[in-house]
Order: sequence, then structure tokens, then C-alpha cells
Amino acid sequence: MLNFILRRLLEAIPTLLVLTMVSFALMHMAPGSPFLTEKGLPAEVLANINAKYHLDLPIWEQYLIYLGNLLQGDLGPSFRYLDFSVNDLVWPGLLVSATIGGWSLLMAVTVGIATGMMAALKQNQMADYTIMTIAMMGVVLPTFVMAPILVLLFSIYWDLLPAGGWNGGQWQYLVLPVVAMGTHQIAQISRITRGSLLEVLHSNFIRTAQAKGLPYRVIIMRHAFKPMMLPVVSYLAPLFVGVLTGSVIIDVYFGTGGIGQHFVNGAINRDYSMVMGVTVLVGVMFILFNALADILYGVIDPKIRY
Amino acid sequence: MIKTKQALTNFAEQLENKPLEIKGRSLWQDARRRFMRNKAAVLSLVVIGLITLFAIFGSYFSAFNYEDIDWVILSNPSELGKPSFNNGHYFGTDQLGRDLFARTVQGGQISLLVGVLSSSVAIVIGTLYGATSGFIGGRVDMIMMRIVEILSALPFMFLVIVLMLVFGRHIILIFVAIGAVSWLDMARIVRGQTLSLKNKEFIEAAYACGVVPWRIVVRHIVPNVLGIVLVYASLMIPSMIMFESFISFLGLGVQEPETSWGALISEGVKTMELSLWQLAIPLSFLVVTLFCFNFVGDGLRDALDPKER
Repeated sequence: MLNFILRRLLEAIPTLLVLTMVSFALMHMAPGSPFLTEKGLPAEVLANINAKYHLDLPIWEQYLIYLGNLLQGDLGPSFRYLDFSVNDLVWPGLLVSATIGGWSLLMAVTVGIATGMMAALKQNQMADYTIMTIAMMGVVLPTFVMAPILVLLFSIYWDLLPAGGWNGGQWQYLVLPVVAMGTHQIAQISRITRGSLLEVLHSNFIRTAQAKGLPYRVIIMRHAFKPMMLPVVSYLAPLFVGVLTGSVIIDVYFGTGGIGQHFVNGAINRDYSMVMGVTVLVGVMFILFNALADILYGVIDPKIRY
Repeated sequence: MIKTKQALTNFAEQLENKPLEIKGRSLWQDARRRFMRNKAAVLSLVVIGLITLFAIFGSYFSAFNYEDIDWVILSNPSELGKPSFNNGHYFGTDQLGRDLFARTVQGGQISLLVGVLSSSVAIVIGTLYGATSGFIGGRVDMIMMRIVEILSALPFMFLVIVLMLVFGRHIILIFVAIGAVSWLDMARIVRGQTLSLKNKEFIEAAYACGVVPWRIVVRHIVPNVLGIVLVYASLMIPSMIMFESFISFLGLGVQEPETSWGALISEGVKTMELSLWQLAIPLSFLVVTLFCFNFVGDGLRDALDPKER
């Protein structure tokens, strides 16, 4: 088991290297230099700036320096906000994004599984149809549509919750972003859970359990629950991607100041180091989470040999 | 009992005198029948057809061009720009007084084009890559699949945005960028199918006839995985449309004066308190289209997936 976990984590290393290389290469292909202004700087000043940011070295040396800094957790200086490093800007944003993302993940998993199970247990009844129709709408409505609709209803028409901002993470400011981000995921998980539980309920070992005369509750919770969870667990990685991409929309729309906002602002302002920093950070989280989901799957599924 | 015997005899005689014509049904005929029975899917297909026609020919029904500004309306777009048949702005105008009907048509062209073209790019690359990898097998297969694994662990949404930042926001680039990064799942699926196909007799027969491996892949393997490819394609198009809308919503997609449904929604959101129709119209088009593609995809999966039989 420990071997399996270690191997899976080691396998993430080449992926991480490719990620940094791709980001770095893209950053260097970008046209123009961040320090080219309309007036043009005197040649000596430009040379000094280039030397300061190591832009005068050959590209592979620059990459090694970048990689070395990255290993020490340094994402480099922001090219746009000259007094700040990318770290100064990104870490507070990461906290915000993690709070919103964490709550919506939690909500997606609990509500999604509960509704999915409910639909499966009442298959082809009113409850099933209702849940699945709502879920289909949740699948189709993207986050960037959900967010404005929620704001329109709860902030503008009924004036119940603030339409944006962060304000130190008070719960009123959390509700709409979390719900907007979670809806799509709830719907997906609900659909997966329903399909999976239906398949499990038709299998032989459930029939055996019924034949033994086990109470219904025990059959569902003790026998059907674990195999039902397998497809749900394998959806965890895409779920996490959804939360990361969703956070871009959420941060921009609600102005919560998360990493998504920094990413988009960086992209619009051509603050390359910021964009790269966020990409690498997100990539690292993404790769580690993928590994984690794999390991979890290995723990749950007895058929996987490691 | 005697009656049954009589009936059997009759049947036997009938067979002898006039042999029944038994027609075999191909996989595709079977699938079509099953698909046609699925009312939601057929209806969705019709709606998609109508929306496509709207996107292609819609501009002939509007007196306005998608970039022209109606200067009268510009003075007070929230009041004067409401949808009305009197001034010819069937869907109203946007905040700059541009006709929303014409813009929705134009946005639809971009959205659908992105969906279809980038899916095609993804499918062609994915199918060929997966089929090649599965067919050659061995060490090549291992390396090719390892590459797919590494690539699929990268956060592509972010990389696509970076790509567009670096190379400029050109619409063709959006197709290619999105398509080129979404072929990974397709490659995996096709590889799995190819592995199970490549030891079948008809492949062996092709070998015996002296067909070169490349032609075996293209002529014998690929046609046999088309069913599953079609299912995934139909589910990929809506996610591509969504992806494009997502990028446009952030203001990083298509560039003015061109537009897409995502860009229209993003503009509509800014003024939704005053002029709700600017959000509601492009939004309904996007949601209905996504809905329909999902239903068609589900219908195709039920019709073509061997597990369902």
C-alpha cells in the first residue's frame, strides 16, 4: 500500500516538470518584453533591468533559475505590480479560493450523493423524475450563468444576500459563490450516484442479501454503499478541475479576490509572471489531487492490485 | 395440440413454396431505429437543426447588421432598446444600440462553429492517435499512453488562456487550441476499443492479403470504432460550446465587433437590472442548444452502446 502511494506520487514528478517547461516556454514565446514602454527606456537601464530579472542569460539557464526558485516556493516578482512578488498576491487569494472551493466540494459530494441515492431508490417515481430533471438543468447551466441568475434573484430582486465582495469571509458573502459553484457539481454527482446505485442494486450479492432477509437499510448502507461510491470517487478528479475552473468565474464575477481573479487580471494586463505563477500553482494542486483521487480509488476498490 | 401441429405444417409448407425474405440489419440500421424511438433525442435533433438554420440564414431576416449602431436608441438603450416588432429590433438592442437579433445570429455562428470544428479537431487527432497506439502495442503503446497521461494531468483551461494571451485572440486559434487539448479522452477510448479489435479474424485476413499496417488502421480499425466516437463527439460539442462561452465570458475569447453567445451573455450580465432581455435572449439560445446536444448524446449512447442491448 505504502509502495503504491509512493509510486503514484513519484509518477507526478515528470508531469510537474512538463508543466513548468510548457509554462516557461509559453512565457518566453510571448511577444514583447514586459518592460517595453511607449517612450522606450535608455539602453543602460534596460540592460540593468534585464540583468536583474536574469533576462540576459541563455534560456536554459533562466529555466533552471526559475525552477530553483520554484522549488523554494518562490513564484518570482510580479511584472505589473513592481513592489509585490507573485507570492504576496497569490497566497491570500489561494486562501479565499480554497474556502469557497472547499465548501462547494463538500456541498457537491453530500447533496449530490444524497439526492442521487434518493432518486435511485425511488426509481421511475415522482421523486426520481423531479430530481433528475433538476439535475439535467444543473448539468446544462454553466457556472457563469448560475452566478448572475443567483445574484439577480437573491441580491437584486429579494435583497437577501450581498452580490459580491469577500469581507473577511463572513457567511453571507460565502453563500452565493458556494452555491453558484456547487450547483453544476451537485447535478453531476447526483446523476452518477443514481446510475451507479441502480447498477449495484441489480447485482447478485444484493439479491443474496435480500434472500438472507437483511433489513433494507442494512442492505443499502452496508452492502450497496461502497460499490456505489466507486464511480463517484473516480469523478473526484474532474470535480476538482471543475472547482478550479469554476473559481475563475466565481472570483471574477463576485470579486472575491481569489486566485482566479489574479489569473484573469494577469491575463488581461499581460502580467506574464503572475499568469505563470497561478498556472503552475493550480497545476501542482491539480496533479497532487489527481494522485490523491487515484490512491483513494485504490483503497476503496478491492479489484485494484498495487 | 393438433391445431399447433397444423399451424406448423402450414408454416413449413409456406417456407417451402415461398421462402421468406430475411433481411439482416446492420449495426447502423439497428442504431437508427433505436434512436428514432427516443422522442426526446429526435426532438432535440430537430431543435438543433432549427438553431443551426437560424445561425446560418438568420441574418436575412434582419434589417440590421451586427456591427451597426442605431444612434436613436443609443441615447437610452434600456428604454428604447426593448424587443419590439415596430422598429425591427425583434430581440431589442444591446447597450450600444446594436441589433441583438443580428448579434445573436452572429454569436450563434461562432458558438456552433467553435463547437463543431474544435470537436472535429479533437476527434481526428484522438481517433488516429488512439488507434495507432492500440494497434502497434508494446513499448510504443506504453510511451504514447504515458504521454497522454502526462498531458491530461495539466490544467488545460489555464493553458488555453495563456496560449491565447501569447498568440493573440484569433478565432481560428481558439478552435485549434481547444481542439488540440481535448483529444486525450478520445485517444484513451479508441485505444481500448482497438486493443479488443486487433486480434479479430478480419484484421488477420487483412494482414494475409498484404495490407500495410497504416491502411489497416485507417480502413479497418477506425470504421469499427466510429460508433463510440460518434457518441463522444455528440457529448463533446456542447462542452466545447460551453468552454468557448466560458472564455468569452471572461473577456478573453472572440474580439469585438464579432461576438459569441458567451460574449453576449457576459455583456447582458452587466446590465441585467435594467435590460434583462440582453441577458435572457442569448442565455436561452445557449441553454437550449446545450440541452439538446446533451439529449442527442444520451440518445446516441443508448442507441449505439453495446452494453445496453
